[in-house]
Amino acid sequence: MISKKVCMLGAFAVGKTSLVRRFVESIFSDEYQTTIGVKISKRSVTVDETEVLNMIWDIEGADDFVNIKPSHLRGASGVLLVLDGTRHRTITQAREIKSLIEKNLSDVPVLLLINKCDLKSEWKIPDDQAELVNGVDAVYYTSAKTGENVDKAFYDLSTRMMKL
Amino acid sequence: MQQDAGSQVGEESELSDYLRLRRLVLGDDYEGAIHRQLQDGDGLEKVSAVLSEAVVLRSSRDNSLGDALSPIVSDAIKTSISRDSRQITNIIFPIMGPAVRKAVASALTDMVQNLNTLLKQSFSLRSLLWRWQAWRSGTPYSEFILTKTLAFRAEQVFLVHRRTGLLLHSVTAPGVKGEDPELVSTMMIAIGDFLTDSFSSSTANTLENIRFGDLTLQIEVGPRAVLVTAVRGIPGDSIRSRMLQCIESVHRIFATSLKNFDGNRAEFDACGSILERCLISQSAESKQSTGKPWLGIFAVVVLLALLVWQACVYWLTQREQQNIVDDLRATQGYIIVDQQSQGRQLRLDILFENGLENPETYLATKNLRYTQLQVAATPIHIGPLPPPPKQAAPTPPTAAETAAKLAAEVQSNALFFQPKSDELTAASLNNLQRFIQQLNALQTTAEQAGKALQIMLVGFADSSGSDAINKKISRQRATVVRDMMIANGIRSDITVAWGAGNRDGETISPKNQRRVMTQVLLIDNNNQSTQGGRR
Repeated sequence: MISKKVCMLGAFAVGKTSLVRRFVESIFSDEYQTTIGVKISKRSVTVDETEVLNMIWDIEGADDFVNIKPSHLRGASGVLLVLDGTRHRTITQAREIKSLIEKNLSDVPVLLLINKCDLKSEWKIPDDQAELVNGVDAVYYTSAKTGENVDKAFYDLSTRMMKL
Repeated sequence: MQQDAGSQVGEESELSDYLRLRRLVLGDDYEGAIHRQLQDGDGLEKVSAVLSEAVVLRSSRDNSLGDALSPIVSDAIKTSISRDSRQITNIIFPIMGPAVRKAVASALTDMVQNLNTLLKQSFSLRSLLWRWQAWRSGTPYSEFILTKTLAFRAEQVFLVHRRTGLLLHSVTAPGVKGEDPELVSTMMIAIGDFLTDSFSSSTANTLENIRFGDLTLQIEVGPRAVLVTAVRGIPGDSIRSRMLQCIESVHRIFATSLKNFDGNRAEFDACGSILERCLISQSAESKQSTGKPWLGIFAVVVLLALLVWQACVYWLTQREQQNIVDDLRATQGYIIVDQQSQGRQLRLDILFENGLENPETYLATKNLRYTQLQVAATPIHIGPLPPPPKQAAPTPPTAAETAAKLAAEVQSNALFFQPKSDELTAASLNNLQRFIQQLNALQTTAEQAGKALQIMLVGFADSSGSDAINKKISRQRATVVRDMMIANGIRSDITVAWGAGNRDGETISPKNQRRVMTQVLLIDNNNQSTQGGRR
C-alpha cells in the first residue's frame, strides 16, 4: 500500500470539508461548520491494482484575515484547489493559493474543483475554464450535495500522484 | 535529535566536501577501485581476518548489528523453511519438549499470580474503595485499576514521516484497543506544525508531548522521522531514553528509505521490532511487591490445610467408630446386629443380655469426640439356658403359670439349618410341628392370662464366610422361621426376627452354630415385663 498526502485548499466556505465528507463517508449535510486549523481524513482508492491511501488534509479556508500556512503543504503529493461557482471572488483567492502552492511545492498535480455545480442557476463565474486559474492539471465541476464528479476527481488525483 | 533546516544544509555541504575529497584521492572510479581492491584476494582476506572481531566489537557497543541483521535473518529462515521444512522440523524437534514444559510451568506461575491479583483486587478494602470511586467517576473498573496500579504504560507507538506526516509503521500493546494510527499520527504532525507556526519562528522548537486526560502522547522528533508513543499514566524517564535509542536506530538503519520515502510503507515493515522496545510499562506497586504472590500462595495453603483437616477428621472418626464397635464385640453379652455409618453418625442395633448394663448407658460413659451415636438396645437372653422350672405345685397351675411354663419350653427349642442356606435340617423339620404347637398354646394361654406376648427369633451362622454374609444368612434363617410361625397362626405383630451373624466360640460345633433361638417376653398389663423362663 502506498500512502499519499493530499491537501484540500480554497477560500472559506467553498465546500472543502463537504467534499471530503462526501468522498470519505458518502454524507452531505447542509449545516455549515467552519474548519479551524486542519482536519485529517483518509480513504484508499485502487489505481492499477495498487492501493493508494489518501491522507486528506482538510485545511481551514483562506480569507482576507486567515492565510494558508505553508507548513501544512509540506510533503504533499497532490492538491485539490476548490472554488465556489456561486461566488466570483473565490477565483481570485484560488489564484493566490495557486501561487502559494507553486512557491512551496514542486511538480505535484493540482486539480481545480468548481464546487456547488448543483446550483448552476446562481452561477457567477465565466464558462471558459481558461479564464479561471492558470497552470492546473485538470478542472472538475463538482457537487458535494449530489456527489457529482467527487469520486472521479479524487481518483484522477490518485492516478496522477502515482505517475510521478 | 532536533535539527533545524540550517543544520541539515550544513550536513549536506559537509557531505559534498567529503565526496570531493574522495574523488581527488581515488579518482572518479571510486566504486571500481573498491571492487578491484576486494577482488585482489588480498583485500578479501584482510576483511575475513577481522570480520568476526569487528562483529563482536560492534555488538558490544550497541545493538545496531542485530537491528540490521534481523530482517535478513528472518528472510533467510523463511526461505529455508519454504525450501525444506523437514530440515527445520528436525532441528527444532529437540527443543520443542523443553519449550512446551517451560511454557506450561510459566502458565502455572501466571495462574497463581493472576489468582493473587484477583484476590487482591476483589477482597481488599482498597479495591472496594476503588470500585466505589470508579462507580462515582463513571469509569469502567478495569480502566480505573490501570490508572491506579500502573505508573504508566506505553499503549501505542507510531513512526511518522516528518515531512509528509504519513505513518511509516505502528505497533500496539497487546490487549489495547488503539486509535486509528494513520489519523492519529497525521493529526499529531498537523498539531506540531500549527504550534510551530503560531508560537515559534524557529523549527528547532518542536512539540514534546500532548496530554489529554490520563493519556500522554510523548513525541521524539528526528531529522526525517518522528516517533510518537501514546502513554497512559505519567510517563517516566525510562520511556524517553528508550524512544531516543529507538529513533536513532531507525535513522541509522532506514536512512535511505527515509530520505527517498514516496509513500511505500512496506519498506518499514522491519522496524516493528525496534518500535516494540518502546512498549514498556511500569507498575506503581513494583517497589512494594517483592514479586512473590503471597496472597495466592496463602489461598492455596489454606485450601490444602482445609483438605488435610477434613481428611484427619474423617480418619479419626472412622477410627473412633471402629473402636466402639470393637469394644462392644469384645464385651461378653453384647451383640451388634446392625451397624450403619454415615459421616459422623453411627447407628447401632444391639442385643444385650438381660441383667447386663444397657449398652446406651455403657456408651454414654465413653468420651466420644467425633461420633454422634444412635443406639437401639434390646435385652435378650443369651448364654446357657436357665435350669428347668421346679415341678409344678400341687395346686392346679394358673393361666399365668402355664404361660410361663410354655414360654420356657418354647425357649428351650433350637432349630438347626443346612450349611450356607436357610433350609432346616431334617431333624429340625421333624421338631417344627411340636414347636408350632407350643407356640400356639403359648399365644392362647398368654391371652387367657391377660399378658402381652412378644416372640423374638434370633438367627445365628457358623464361622465360615464373611461377617456381612453371616449377618445376612442369620437374618434370613430367623425370617424363614418367623414366616412359618405367621403362616401357622402366630400373630405377625408380636414376632420379631433378628440376624446375629456368627457369635459362638469354637466350643460349639458348626452344625449347632447354624440355628435360630427363640426369646419370649410376657408382659403384664401393668407393664411389668417378665422374661419367659426366669420364673
